[in-house]
Amino acid sequence: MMELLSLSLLFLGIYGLVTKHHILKMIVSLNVMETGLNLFITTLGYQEGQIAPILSSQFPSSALNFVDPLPQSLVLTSIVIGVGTTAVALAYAIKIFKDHGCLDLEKIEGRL
Amino acid sequence: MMNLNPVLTIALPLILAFTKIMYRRIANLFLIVGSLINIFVVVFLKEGQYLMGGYRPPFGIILQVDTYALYSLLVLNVLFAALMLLVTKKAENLTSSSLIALAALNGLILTGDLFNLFVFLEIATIAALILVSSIKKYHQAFNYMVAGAIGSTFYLLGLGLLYKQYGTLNMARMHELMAASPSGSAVAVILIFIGLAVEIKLMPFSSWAAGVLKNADEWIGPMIGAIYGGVMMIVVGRLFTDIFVMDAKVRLMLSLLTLITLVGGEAAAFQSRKVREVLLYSGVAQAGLEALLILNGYPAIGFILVLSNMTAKYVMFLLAGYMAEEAGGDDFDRLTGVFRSNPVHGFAFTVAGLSLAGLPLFFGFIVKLNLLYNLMLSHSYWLPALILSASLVEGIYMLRMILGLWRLPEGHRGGLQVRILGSSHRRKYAVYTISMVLSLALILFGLAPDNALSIARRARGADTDGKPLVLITMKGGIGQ
Repeated sequence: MMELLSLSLLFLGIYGLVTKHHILKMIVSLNVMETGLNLFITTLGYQEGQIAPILSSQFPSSALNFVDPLPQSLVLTSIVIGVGTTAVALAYAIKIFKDHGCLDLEKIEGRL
Repeated sequence: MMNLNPVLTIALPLILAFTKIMYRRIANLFLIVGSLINIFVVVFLKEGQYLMGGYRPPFGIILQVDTYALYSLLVLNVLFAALMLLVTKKAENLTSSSLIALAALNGLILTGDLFNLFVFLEIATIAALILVSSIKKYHQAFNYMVAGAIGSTFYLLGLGLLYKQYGTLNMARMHELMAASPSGSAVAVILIFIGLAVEIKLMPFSSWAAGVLKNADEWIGPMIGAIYGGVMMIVVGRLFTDIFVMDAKVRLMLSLLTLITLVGGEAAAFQSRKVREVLLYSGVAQAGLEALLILNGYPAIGFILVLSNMTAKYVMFLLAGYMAEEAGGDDFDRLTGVFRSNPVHGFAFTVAGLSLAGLPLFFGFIVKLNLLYNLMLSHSYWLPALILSASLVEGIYMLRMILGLWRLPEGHRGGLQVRILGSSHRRKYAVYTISMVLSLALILFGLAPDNALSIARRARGADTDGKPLVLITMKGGIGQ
């Protein structure tokens, strides 16, 4: 169920990226897409009844009652990369607005 | 003989990229010295697996140096360093991004881990986005960013599905498990191919390239059009030859995409009347051909075609960027006869163009001749016919463009006043030397191709009596 929900979010983001022309809406779509993907990868490592892979006083040994930690570490990396991409996208948005006075890609390309 | 660790080719540019921030005045020096040191490191690399942090595969990340990686690294680092020697004022602000790009591209070739490959892919893309912003076409760069983001999402989605099915990200382990049980992995493999298709500019995922490369200067053209395109194709060669196991239906589906690219790219290039646009679409068509060969069991010829095209496109984009800058555009009409005033550049551009089109005497011809010979031997006839037709079309538009650039307009006396290089002597001699050396290499390998062909066969396992080639292994690293 969670897999399907996260995939729906991912494809919703792709739909937004493909159909919207406003740059800020596209950046939001980009983030929705990345969130859907990150959720999907996290669900891959999920196992019913298992706990987070963190050693604590309550769970001092790395027994087999942990969920798979690898997808979580992948998602951490993916989140960091997503932040970088969003920062670059917003920097472009500022530059585009300074150059063209609007953020609508269709209008900008129509003028050129 | 000295044996250096391949991680240096990634770590050194990264260290220099961040150290440079404190020494802005000598930024260019960092760029040039960093890329030259990387060539030195590559020359002294020894084939083998290198563990990162002492963790053995499949739990740890490994870097893999085999013949394929070694020669790919050599070509990449030489072309990159050559471009850095041409560094201009404009590029000074891009020193850090360029060094990060170099680190990521080296990592893409070396890594033996599929997620690590994703990380390098993203770093390379973000560095490319910053480099591309130097041409000031921000909305085109934004389109590139969106295409790249969708591509990497597809790659990661495919990777997630593969991990779910096989429980590993190590390339060698993935290959072993896929070979034992390939069913159920088709969707993941297709998603990964689509993700990489954005970077290698396959149609219909190549629309971003038109915006970027049509406006590319002498810096961005060779970097994105030749170096990035070539390295991404080398990655495709690694994944779809050594790692993934595909059934015939998936292979056919992906091959159709490459065929559409080959035909569409040649048609678009034929119609174009601008130098960089011709190079862009010709590059798209060549990418289709290279991917077609890799997917259909001709990895050795595919590999050497990638390296040969990378070199030829590098020279052409470099000179096209200078021509466009000096002439204020790159329409055929505006540049008619430009090589009369710039014969050295004309010679280099002509050699690279003819090699790209696969005409006799040049390296591209030898590669295509070998390809057709091998295809005929395997009783495949539709593919040679298609490749011959595409080469014919490419030969026609390439000759039309080259002749136009040499021919003076009617009634015109003497050379045109467009000087490709402006007034800087350093740039002038650097461009002379680099374009001439690379074009002479294309002639030299065309006249004596045996060594290059034998390296390509060794790199892609054509000399292993038909046994599948998996050079990435699960064994411990050097010194283990």
